[in-house]
This record gives sequence, C-alpha cells and structure tokens, in this order.
Amino acid sequence: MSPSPDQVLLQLEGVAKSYVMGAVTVPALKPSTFAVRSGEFLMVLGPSGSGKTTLLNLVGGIDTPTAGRLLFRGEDLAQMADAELTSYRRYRVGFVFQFFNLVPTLTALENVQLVADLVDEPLDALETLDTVGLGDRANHFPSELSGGEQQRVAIARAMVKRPALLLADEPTGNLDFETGIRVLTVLTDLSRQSGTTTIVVTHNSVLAGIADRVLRMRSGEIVEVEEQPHPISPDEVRW
Amino acid sequence: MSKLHLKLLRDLRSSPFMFAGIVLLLLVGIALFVASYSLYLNLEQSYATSYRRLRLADFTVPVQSAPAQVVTRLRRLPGVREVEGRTIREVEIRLPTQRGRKVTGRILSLPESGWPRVNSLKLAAGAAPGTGLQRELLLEAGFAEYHGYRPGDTLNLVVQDDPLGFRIVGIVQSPEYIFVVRGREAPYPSESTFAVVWIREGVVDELFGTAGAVNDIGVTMAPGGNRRSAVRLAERLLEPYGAETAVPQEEQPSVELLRLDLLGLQNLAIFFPLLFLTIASLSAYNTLGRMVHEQQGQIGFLRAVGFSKATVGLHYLLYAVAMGVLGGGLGAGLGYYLGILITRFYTTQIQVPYYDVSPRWIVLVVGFALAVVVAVAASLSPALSAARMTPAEAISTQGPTGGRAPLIESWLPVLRRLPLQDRLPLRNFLRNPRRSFATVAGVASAAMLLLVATGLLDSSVAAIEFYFKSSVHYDILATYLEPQPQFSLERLRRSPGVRRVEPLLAMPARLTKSDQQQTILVYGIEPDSRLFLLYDQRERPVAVPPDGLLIPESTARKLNLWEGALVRLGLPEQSVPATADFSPAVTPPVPFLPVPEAWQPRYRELLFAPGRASIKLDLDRLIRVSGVSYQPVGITAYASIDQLREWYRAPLELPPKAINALALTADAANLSAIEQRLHDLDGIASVSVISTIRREIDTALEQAQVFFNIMLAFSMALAGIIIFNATLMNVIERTREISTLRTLGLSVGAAVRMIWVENLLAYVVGLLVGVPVGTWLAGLFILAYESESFNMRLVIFPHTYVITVLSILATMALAQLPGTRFIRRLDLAKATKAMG
Repeated sequence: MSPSPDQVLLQLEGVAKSYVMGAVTVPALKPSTFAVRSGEFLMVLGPSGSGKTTLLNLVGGIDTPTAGRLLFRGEDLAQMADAELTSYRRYRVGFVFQFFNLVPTLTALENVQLVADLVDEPLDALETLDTVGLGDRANHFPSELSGGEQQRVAIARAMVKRPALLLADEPTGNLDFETGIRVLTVLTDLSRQSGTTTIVVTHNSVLAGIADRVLRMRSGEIVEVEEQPHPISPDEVRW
Repeated sequence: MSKLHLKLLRDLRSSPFMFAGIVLLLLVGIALFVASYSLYLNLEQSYATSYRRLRLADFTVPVQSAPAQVVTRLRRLPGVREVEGRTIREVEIRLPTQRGRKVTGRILSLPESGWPRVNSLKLAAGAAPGTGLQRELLLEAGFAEYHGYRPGDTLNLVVQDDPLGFRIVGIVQSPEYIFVVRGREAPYPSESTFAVVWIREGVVDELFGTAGAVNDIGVTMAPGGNRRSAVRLAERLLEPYGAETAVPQEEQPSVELLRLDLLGLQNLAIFFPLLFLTIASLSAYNTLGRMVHEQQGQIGFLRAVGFSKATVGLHYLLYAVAMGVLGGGLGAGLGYYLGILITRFYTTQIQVPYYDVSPRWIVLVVGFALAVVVAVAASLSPALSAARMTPAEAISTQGPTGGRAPLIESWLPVLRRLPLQDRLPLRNFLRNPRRSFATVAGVASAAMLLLVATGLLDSSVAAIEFYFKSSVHYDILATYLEPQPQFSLERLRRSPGVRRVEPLLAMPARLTKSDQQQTILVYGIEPDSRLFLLYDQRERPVAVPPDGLLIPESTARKLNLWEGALVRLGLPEQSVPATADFSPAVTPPVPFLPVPEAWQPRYRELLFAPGRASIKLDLDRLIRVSGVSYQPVGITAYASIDQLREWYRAPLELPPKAINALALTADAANLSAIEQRLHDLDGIASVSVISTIRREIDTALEQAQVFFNIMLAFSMALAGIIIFNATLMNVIERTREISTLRTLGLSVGAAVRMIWVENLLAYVVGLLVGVPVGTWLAGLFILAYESESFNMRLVIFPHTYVITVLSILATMALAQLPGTRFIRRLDLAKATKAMG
C-alpha cells in the first residue's frame, strides 16, 4: 500500500550512493526507491555493509547521493548546497549516534541547551531532559553519566529542537540489553508522543517488533519492506 | 621490512607537515650550531696556525731605549728560544687622495736582511725590501687593501715635518695585526686611518738616529720553557733601559681582541642553536604525545596481540630517531656549507695570514648526534607512556573527559550568561591541558624566536640612538696635534654660524684597583657642558663631577669600583699608544656588520711629538670615583676639565688652561664652511662631523637590517610552522566533536568561529608566556655579545612587540585556513561514526 502524497515526509527516487576507492567504485547503496511517511517509526535492519547507515546519512543530509532524487517535503536534498543542508539538519533533523557524541565539556543540560539554541522555537531543555528521566542529572557532565544516561541525553538533545525527522544510528549498539531497552523505550515514547518521524538503524533483528515498518537491507539494496500494524513495546522485546 | 616499521613509514606519510616541521626545526638548530661552531673552530685554528708559523712573541718588553746587544744576553735566559729587538716609531702619513684626513703610520724595523725571527710576516704580494738603504717598505695588507695600494706605489711618511716618499715593495700580513688596531683602548678595526709599515732597520736608524738601539723586544719561548720566570728575568735585565711591564702574548691588542671576539662567537654558537633545539624538542614532545594519544586503540591492539612493552616503546622512539637522523643529517650538511660561507664573510674584515678552514668532523658528528639525542629525549616520555599502557585500558573506548565546570566560570559569573557556543571554546581550552599546552608552547616559542631575533637589532639601534640623541650634542669635534691654551677657541667662537664652542681635554689613563687595571680615555669637559651630556646607570642625566672621576659601567665592573671608591690613576704603559681616540667611539654592536670608515677612530699624537715618546712620565695618584655612568659603546671616563688639568699639568707640562680638542655646534648652513675652516687651521689633527658619521652609521645599519630581516623572516617561517602544526592538530584531534556539532546543525561559520576563539585563547596565553620569556632570552643573547667596549642594554621597542604580536596573530589567521578548509570538507558521516 503506497502512502498518499500528503502522508509522505521523505521520498527516495532511485537514490544511489557509491564511493570511489582508488580505481574501484564501491556501490554502498544501489538505486532505491522508497517513501517515509510522516509520523511513522521505521526500523532499518541489515547486517554490516548492507547500506543502512549510508541510507541514514543520505536521509540525514550528512552525505549526498550520487544518483536519484531525495525529496524532503518535495525539496530535493541532492540539489541542496552545503548551507541549505546545514539548515535542513538544523531545523528538520535530530540525530542520535551510536557513541552518543556528547560534548564532554558541557553538562547534560548544556548539551541539550546547546542544540536548543540553534533553533527558534525549541522545547524547554530541562523539561526535555526530564522527559528522558534525567531531570535530576541535568548538571552532570558526560563523564559522570552511564552509557545509557548519555544516550538518553543524546535523545533529549535530538528532540529538543522539535525535529520533523529523528534519525538514530545503532542507538543501542554501545549499550547492554537492559539499558538498550530503556533507551528504546524513551525513544519510542517521545517519538510517538510528539508524532516525530523516526528512523532507527540497527543490525539487531529482535528489535524489529517495535517499529511501524521494517525495512530490510542486504548488499546495498532494500530487499524487503514489512508493515507492522501492531508494534510491540520495547519492554516486550525478548532476546 | 617489519609491519611495525611499515606502520611507522605510513604514519609519517599521513602527517608529513608535522613531521617536516620538526625536522626543519632540528635542521635549523643543527645547521646553526655546526656553522657557527665550525666558524669558531676555523677562526681559532687559523689564528693559532698564524701565531705559530709566524712566531708571534710569547711576550714583549717595551723599553725606552736599549742597546741592540742586549738581545744576545736575553737569548741566554733559560727557556727562551728566540729574541728580537726592533725600533717602533709613529709618524704621520699623507695620503694624496684623502684631503683633511690624517693617517697615523707605525714603523716597525726589520732586520738588515731576511725576515724577523720573532713576529715574522707573510708576504701577500711583492717582495721583501732590499738590504741597502733604499726607501722601501712593506705595508700591512688591511691598509693596503682599504686604500688600494699595490707593490710599486709610493707612500709618504712625514718624518720631522718632512714628507718622505717610500716605495711599497711588498704587502704583508702580520700575526700582530690580524685585527688591525692601534692599542687595547681602541678596539675597533682601523685599517683606514692606521698604517703599519716595516722598514729595514738601517733606514729606520737613519731616519730617527736610533742606530744600535732598540725600543721593543719580542721573545719566543722554547717548548716547556718557563715564561713567567723568563719575563721576570727579562724585565730585570732590561730595567736599566726603561723597561715597561712585559706584555704577554694573550694581552697583545690584536690577540686579545680576537680572543674576546671568539668568546662572543662561542657563546652565540651555543646559545642560538640551543634555542632552536629547545623549541624543536618541545614540538617533538607535543607531536609524539598527540600521536600516542590518538593511537591509543592501536597501542592497545599491539599490546593485546603480544607485542612487548619495549617493542611498543621503541616503535614510538623510532619516530624520534627518524626525525633526529633526518634533521641532524640535513642540518649538519647545511651547516658545513654555511660554516664555509660565514667564515669567508667573517674574515673579510680581518687579515689572517694562514687559514685553517676544514670540515670540522667532530662538530658535524656532535651536531648530528645532538639532533638525535634531542629528538629522542623529547620523545622519551610519550614513548614510555605508550609502552606502559595496559591493553585493556588502551583498547577500551575512551569515555568523555573533563567533566567539571572551569573555576573561571565561578569567579566570573558573567561568563555563565554567554551563549554556550561562546563558552565552549573556553571550556575546551581548559579541558585538555596537553592539547592546550602544545598550542600555547608553540605560540610562546614563536614569540621567543621573534623577540630574540629582533632584540639584538633594537638594542643596537637604541644604543646608537642613545649616543647620538642623548649623549652627543655637538655638530663637529676637532682635535689638536698638541695641547693648546683654551683662549685659542675665542676666534672660533666669533666665526659666523658658530653657536657654541666647548673646550675638551682628553687624556689616556690607566686605572688600577688591587691587581686589576684598565686603560681608559678620560674626557675633561666643562661642568656646565651642553654638548656632552652624561647619564647615570639608570639613564638619568648626571652632571660632570667637580672633583673625582665618573667611570663607565664596564670599568666599574672590571675593577670592582663604586661611587665613593678610590682608584689609582696613572699613565698607561707604552705598550698601549699614549694617545687618544677622539672620534665618537661608536662601533655597531651587531654581528657581521661592516664597520664604515667614519666610525673608525682617528688617532693623533696628543701628548708626545715623535722623538719624545721615550720620556718617562710620572702620574700616580689616588682619586675618588664620583659616579658610574651608562655608555653603550666605548670606555670613556669623565672629569671636570679643571680637575683633569690639575691631574695632568705637572707630569705632562701642559700649558695653562690646556685643551687638546673642541666641540662645537653651528647653523646647518655654515657647517660645511666651518669644517673647511677647521681643516685649514694649523695644529688641527682631525675634524669629525657628526651628521656624516650618523649617515655612515645609518647606511651600515641598513646593511645590518638586511641581515636581521633575513633572520626575522627565518624566525617567522619557523614560528609559522610551529603555529600551523599546533593549530591543525587542534582541529584534527577534534574531528568527531566538530562533526557532531556540524551534524546537529551548527553552521561551518559557527564551527570555525568556535575553533578560532579557542585557538585565540591559546595564542593569547602563549603570547603572555612567550613575550616575557622571549624578552628575558633576548637579554641573555645580548649578554653573550657584551664585551668591555660594548655595553648594550636590552631594548625592545614597543613597535617591535606590536609587530611580534601582530605577526603571530597574522600567522595564526593563516594557520586557520587549512583548519577551516578541513572543517568545511569534513566527512560528517564518517567522522560521527568514529569512536572517541
């Protein structure tokens, strides 16, 4: 079932990415066509080297396709200049990284505030931190937080600017199972409450159940798109 | 090749600029060391060879007049190898092309045939004089070169008012006049106004009626001979003939000045390279430290798979060895050629009979080894820290560091109100001491280099400015051949255009305190003199004392004198000329600066007409030191003119109200006419016009400026490398952090600004450290150049500081460009995925 145009946030039309390594051209993402609906929770699954991170980077505007059109609300990211891409990332996209990437010299609150300062109408930084359960850790520096806490700060940091699109690259990849589940709970809760379109990239297939749709990739290709009308809650995930 | 070595090579290739920067610093340090130390050894050996081959006297005894046969008795003294007696006289030389310029000639007698057995000569051109009574002479090479004399030309010597033409048959170099100076009190090259000539003794005797007598006896010692005992015996034996204190070889004016010059050179040969090597070692330490930090994961892996601590440590030390070998090898090679060039340039000012210029292998080897040792020593600590890492600790993902708010934010609450983007740079600067230290040290080193290079030039300029603007306020200084009564100035005072005339009495003196003595010139000036202004050690104006003597700092230091102390005043020995230097005694206190003719002192027989030189004069009294004065150049003491007349009147039979020089100021329009009038006056020995001297000094300074500009450019280039490396590393190390912020939406401009502000903080701190330390180092550098006659003070002009700071900031701005480019071209996708 293809979504109606007003439901589409992001449209990939034959988007491909290849890297030139010396004399060899390595296709990281083969021509792919795909639509991301507004408000959906999309899980991209695949083994290492399947092209999922490339896909995420292209969607996030930190990489540009070598072919195809990548339309965000009708605007082609592939045609955007660097400044426009910066603006796109600033106002439209929130990122959560595998290694958290917090600024070590800023407290949890300041890390969130730093990003809030970039946009015109952000959420309240402390409230956002409170939402991820870290209101009482607001003045702690990253070195004083556990991995899970750091990732929750990273989620708060991504959400504080009210992004239309939240991208998370292996958000639990550097966490133990329990902590991972807690982080995913926060992520899904926030995403669903705010209606933010969320794309999570992971190689861990047991997480697939929590998404509205699952996109499976292999060798740079989208091999399967699976609808999940009844996603489960992260705490129902079993290893 | 082992894979570890391959890794080393590839690591070097991946950061070629940083590697090249350190290699360049080492190269410069070693090249400077090898070049300057080779120069030092080349000169030292050349002098020693010249002294040995030309049999320079081990000691000389000046006498009033001794029978020539006394030489035979002296030869019998134990330990003595050879003795030679000769006659020394000074006359005026008239040069046809030099109107108004009087030149002093020193005649030294030659044996009737052959060459002297002591103080021999090297024939540079022409032939030895014939053995008859022909008017032939040998001319010292420096004077000949300066005035363009060749064998076959004629030189006019004025003997008892008669100009006598002598044919120059040969041009010679002498071990006594490698540095052509007339005496120890006038330590300036004077080949333009001081000619040394050698004439067969028969001719000399005929000219001066000295047949059968000598007034200067040179002695060489046999190997193992006891010189002290020979000196004592010779002095005793020659006492009846008016023997003065013997002058040992090391106190011979040329020998002593060359030795002092060598000493200064030796200091420079060590000090300046040391500065470069220190900076190089700092850079090596920082680079290796960063590398170890960056490669922590790799180190963990190496250790985890079984490489020993020693292997890992040695692997990182090999970087240092590579830098040392490359920097040392290239530096030693470059230094070798530079050494030859500099030796060639340096010796254009002096007349060295025998050159001993050869590759100083030991210096090359030491230089090369030094580079390796410096690089390895600087890298020891980072290499050890790499070796000591436990695999688990090294391999684990590094968590965030620096989890605390800087204290400065508590002290300055206003900082907390700044946007986070502005607070980040400050926190980043404080968060990583190693990284901040590296940048601060780089900037501080650059500031030090620049200040040391400019400090010497500024100090030289300041010394000269001080002399001309603060001390000397006359337009013309003229000296008389013989002391005159002061009323002879009256006519001059009434001359058109003359504004002020002041009398001057200048007397040579020997100051003695305990067993130390110094020969010095004493200027007697009027107490209310407006043309000679004096300054105390704090550069405050000070009046000439009504009684007592105002002595220069260098004399005070040498004789351990202070205000109120007593010192013995006597006449100098005949071993130094009993005459005075009347020209403004400014010699450019900068290395390698050619000395223009007008700087060189003009000497006149002030006290003694030819033939009276052997009269024994008696002046011996205790006088009080009334103060210590600051004089950047030269060693002149001051007394009131009446006081000086009182001291010297009786022993020298001075006329009442005696003067022997004058200083005057005049309207600019009349200056030339007055100069001409003075030249035409009878009894005038020399006329110096300050504006002419100043012009020549300025020209010479311009030449020096070129030398310093090259040095400055060199230092700036090095400063650029240091800053460039530090800045680029600062960006490279934070790739992930910058990428994250960029990914989160921070614009390139904002990211660049953040890095700029952070670097600027490091630069400001670096300048705050580097400027005072650089100033201090420049002071040390000046000290290395200080001698009895050059008493420069460290002066760094405000504009030099401004230029230094601006140069560094400009370099910083340039150094940001690659960093900015780096930020613009960051692969956000890759960089944000990277582990810490």
